[in-house]
Amino acid sequence: MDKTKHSLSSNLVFWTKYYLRYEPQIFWVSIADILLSPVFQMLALYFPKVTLALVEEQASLGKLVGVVGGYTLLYLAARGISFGLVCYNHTTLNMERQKVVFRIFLKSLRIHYTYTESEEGRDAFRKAVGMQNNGDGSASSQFVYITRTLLSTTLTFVLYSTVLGQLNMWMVVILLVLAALGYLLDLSENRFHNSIRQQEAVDEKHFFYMKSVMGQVSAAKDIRIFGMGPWLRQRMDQVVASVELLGRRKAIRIWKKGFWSRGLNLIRDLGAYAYLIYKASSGDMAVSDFVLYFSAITGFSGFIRGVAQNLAGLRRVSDDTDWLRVYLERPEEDMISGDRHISELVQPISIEFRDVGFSYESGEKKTNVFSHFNLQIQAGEKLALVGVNGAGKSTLVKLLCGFYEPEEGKILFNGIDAKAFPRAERYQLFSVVFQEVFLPPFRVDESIVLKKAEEIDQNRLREALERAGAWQILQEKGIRMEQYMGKLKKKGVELSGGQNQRLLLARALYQNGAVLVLDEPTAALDPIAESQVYDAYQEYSHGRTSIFISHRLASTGFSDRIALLDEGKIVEIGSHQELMESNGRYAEMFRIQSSYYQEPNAAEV
Amino acid sequence: MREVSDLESRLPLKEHLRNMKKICKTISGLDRYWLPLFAIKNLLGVVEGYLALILSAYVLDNLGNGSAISEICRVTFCFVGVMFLLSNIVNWLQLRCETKQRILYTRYHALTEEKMLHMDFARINSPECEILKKRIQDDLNWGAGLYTVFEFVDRVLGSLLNLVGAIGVGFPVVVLLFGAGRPEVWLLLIGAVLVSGVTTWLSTHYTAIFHQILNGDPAKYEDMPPFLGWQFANGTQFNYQNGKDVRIYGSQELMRQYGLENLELPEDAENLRRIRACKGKSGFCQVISGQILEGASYMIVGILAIAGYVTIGNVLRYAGCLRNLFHELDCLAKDIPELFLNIRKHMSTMEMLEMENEMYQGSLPLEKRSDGEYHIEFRRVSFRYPGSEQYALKDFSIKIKAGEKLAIVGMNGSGKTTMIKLLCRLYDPDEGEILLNGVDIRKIRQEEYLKLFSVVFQDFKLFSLPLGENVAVCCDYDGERIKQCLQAAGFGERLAKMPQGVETYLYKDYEDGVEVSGGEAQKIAIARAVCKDAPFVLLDEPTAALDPLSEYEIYTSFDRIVGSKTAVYISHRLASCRFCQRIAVFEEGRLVQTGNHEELLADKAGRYRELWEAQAQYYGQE
Repeated sequence: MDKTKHSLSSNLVFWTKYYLRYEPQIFWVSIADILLSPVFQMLALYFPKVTLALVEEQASLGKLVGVVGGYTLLYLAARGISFGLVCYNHTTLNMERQKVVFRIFLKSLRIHYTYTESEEGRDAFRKAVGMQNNGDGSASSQFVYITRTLLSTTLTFVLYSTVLGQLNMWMVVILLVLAALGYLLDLSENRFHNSIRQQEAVDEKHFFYMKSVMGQVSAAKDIRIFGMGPWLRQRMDQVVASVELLGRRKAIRIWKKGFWSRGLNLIRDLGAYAYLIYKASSGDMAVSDFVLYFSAITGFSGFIRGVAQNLAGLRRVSDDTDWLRVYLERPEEDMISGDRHISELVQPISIEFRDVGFSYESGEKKTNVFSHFNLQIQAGEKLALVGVNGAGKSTLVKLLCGFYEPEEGKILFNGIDAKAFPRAERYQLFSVVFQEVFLPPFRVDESIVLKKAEEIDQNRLREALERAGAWQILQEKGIRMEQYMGKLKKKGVELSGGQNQRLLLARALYQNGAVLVLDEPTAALDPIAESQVYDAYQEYSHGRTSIFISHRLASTGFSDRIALLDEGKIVEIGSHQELMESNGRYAEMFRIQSSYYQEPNAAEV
Repeated sequence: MREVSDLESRLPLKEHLRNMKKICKTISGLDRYWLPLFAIKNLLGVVEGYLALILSAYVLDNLGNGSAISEICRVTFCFVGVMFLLSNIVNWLQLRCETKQRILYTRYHALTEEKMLHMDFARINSPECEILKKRIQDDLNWGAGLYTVFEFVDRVLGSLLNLVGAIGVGFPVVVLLFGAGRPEVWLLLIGAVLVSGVTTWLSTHYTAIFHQILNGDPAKYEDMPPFLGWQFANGTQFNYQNGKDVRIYGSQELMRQYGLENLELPEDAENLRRIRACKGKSGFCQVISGQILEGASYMIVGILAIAGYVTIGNVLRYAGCLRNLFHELDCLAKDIPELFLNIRKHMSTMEMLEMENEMYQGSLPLEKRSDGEYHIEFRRVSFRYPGSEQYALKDFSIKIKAGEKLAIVGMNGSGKTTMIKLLCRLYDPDEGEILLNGVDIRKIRQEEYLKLFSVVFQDFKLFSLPLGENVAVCCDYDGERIKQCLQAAGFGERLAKMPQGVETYLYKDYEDGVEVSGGEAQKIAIARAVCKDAPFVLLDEPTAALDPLSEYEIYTSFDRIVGSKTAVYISHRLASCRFCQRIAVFEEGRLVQTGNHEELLADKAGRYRELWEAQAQYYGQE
């Protein structure tokens, strides 16, 4: 999968713009915190020294209480406000983190469908959402945290340098060298972490998968009947064993690395003690200064490493951000340009596939579905598309609706190239009942029509529901439009599969598109419900161009023509009568299915 | 915003301790050494910290009184060396603790699911279990997994040991507080403790308001438009394929409303503002309550030092100890309730683990018959699903003879699948009994009884594990036999195209496996049933996802698959019934007709004929 690599600065600009647009407050709060942090760090550094100095000079009670109390108050104010701001910001950041996810999702509805459906697009979506699903470790939050600590740590580092510089410039240099060595150790440790992160992620994925499988209520029947318990448990044990193995390896590696890093600290501490003891005993230094410099030396390297680590962290965030930008910056579908309009078309409309070529791409692999594909659907014709799974029926519908673009050739409506119409209008040309039932847990009317409540014409909706045979069901169950669909609410509306199908039909009727498409709408229905759907369809499709996809051949009886699709080609086309007479594959398939339904004596043959 | 839970209510200390014991027992059941390991690590860590304090006091005092440099250096180097050794040991123990935590986390959080593997089916499907699972999910939400318990156990242990260390190392200053007779010291101390107390109270007060706002009013929640951003993005309420509907019906703005804007309803925006303010204020107070005591410690020890009770070197040591003393007390005051709360969040998990199975498991051994002569009788069986008013089966009787092929037809919801579930003892009937060779199946050992059935349910499940394992239902299987089973189920051609044969992983959830279509999956599920080779074969709509040719393939190989076994076959496609000797027509939980196809069709007023004609009308025109 390709990921556009952006530079660190480009990603910094990206987030800065993002927050300026959606949450400018984050900036002011962060800047205040960046300035306050070094203040309380310095106060903390000087605090013991000041107390000891007062003891050394045998200060009066009033002075002691005044000075130490003053320091304490300043420190409390700086640290308290700083932490308060961090907490304040945290809520905003957490909210914004989630909103980024929602924006990614909403974006997925506005970019080209081909991409959102492709393996690559789905992977990119998962990756982008994954980057934001890490709590405080998410890219949007990390960007703020890391830039903030980086800046405040750098400031503190500068202040510490001036303190140590007063003691001895060389000290600063030596500490810098030690810190550089420490940083090299950190780097190699980071590399190690990165190298096992993948394995950790795999273990985690395996763990959550096995956990979900074992707890899946819908799998419980199979688990019991087939006695799958031991199998699944053995699989889970394998996951735990893998976690354990990796954990041990990791512990050993980290300890070894840490050993050298602790060794560097040992050298630093020994050196610091030796130098300061020497200084103090030669009378150059007060006891209070000894304390100050010792904490400055031990604290200093921490800040240097802090700067280095935050820089590395920023690069990591930048990398994560690239994944987000793959999605967020993808161009949206152009919905409005086009010089012809659907309103010009005389209904019913005719459809023509002229020399259409199309193939699926997934990575390097290209699977050809159609080449030089031709099909004409007359105005007002009812066409049944039949064929085995994978023959290309659904692809054909996606090309027709404009979800896919043909690579070659064109699709014509009333002889006009489909590309000439604005996309928004082209979509509206169709009323489609898709195979996957989509009745989201919105208000009932919104869920059916898929438009905002204020845009819905309730009379038209009622009419559509009546024609789809759904109005009566809603009335009988006392369902009001203000209720919500689905299980999310206690008073949520839940209907059976057949009833849901009727709502979908009502959705298509409400849209009143010039072309009706039904994609296998009866697979889950019992015979009576199936027959009712056929009837409703037949009534509605009258005088309207319509396409019915099914692998049940029953639907072909009321179609004007039947097209049998196989491996992207129309192998047979004609009326039921014609196809039966030509005695080809359709006739064979039909006989197989209908043989079960012939009267007993006929079936004996 | 989540629904209210009972975590806010007060609980007596005894109850908390009982909870703690419970969870410790569960974790210790997984690994006995976790708690001792945590304790030793903390102990050594505390020792290391106090060594540093003692060393600084020693150095400062001896510098002040002009001792020999060499002596000071020697002692210092010894101390630093010992601390270095200790830090290496502590680090090692720390890493061991982390590894242990990770393993324990993994094993602990699989316990509920492992439990579900052998829980009564009726229970696993019951509303109570759903509610309990929802509670567990809510309780463990917001990072409240086992790691949080570990974190607080670790902190409380550390605080307790640190407290002991502070009192031990700083013992003289504690004595001085009482013995020095300096009222200003007490004044300072009391003042600081008061301020600290008030700010702590404020901090918890703001946190409480924060939780109150966050939990909201569940009654109001019921009528508010839902916010679905998470469900959309994580695929529970939206599938990328639904994008087709969104585009065709132009619903982008509607999706925006439920996926983003409903999060920003005016009421929520106001709540957000208040939440932010509460968190900010709570954070501010939290810092003050902790840090003010640190300032006071220095002042108190400073006063004592100026008065000559404490040497200059010991100022840092005693101030450090005093600070630790206050700090750890403060920490304990905050962490112990947090620990209790976090442990309490695991009580729903414990409840699940303690759940006992109610279904009688049976004790009679199964009558072993090599001839497979098992026959079944349903005798006046009635059954309602738990929590449902309506009977799924009512006064239902049927006999199934050994070797018989029985088809069951009927509308959706007529009780067909329910009958299969009762037969497999997923549920026990409310009234009546089911007999196997004349013995009530409840009396037969459940484990052995289940071995009698191979079932392909309508909503069968395959897992994202190797194909062979899916068929064999175990990790070690005979590849050749699996191949035969797959071939028998009509999967042979596809198997040849699988990159690693039977070892190919299915789907992409576990490994990067191969996607199989609905029809192919159904064939694998049939192969699984074949592989089990049980005397009863139950097929619930096995051809629903298949195209006509595959369907035909299955129909024709049906006899071969089932052989001389007893078979029960459910289908919407009445065509499939013609393969069966007897057809049972269900309606509203009752058996309304039985007989073979011809007999049933002859009954012009019968339900079967009606169903048949609904389908056959489309095929009658030839």
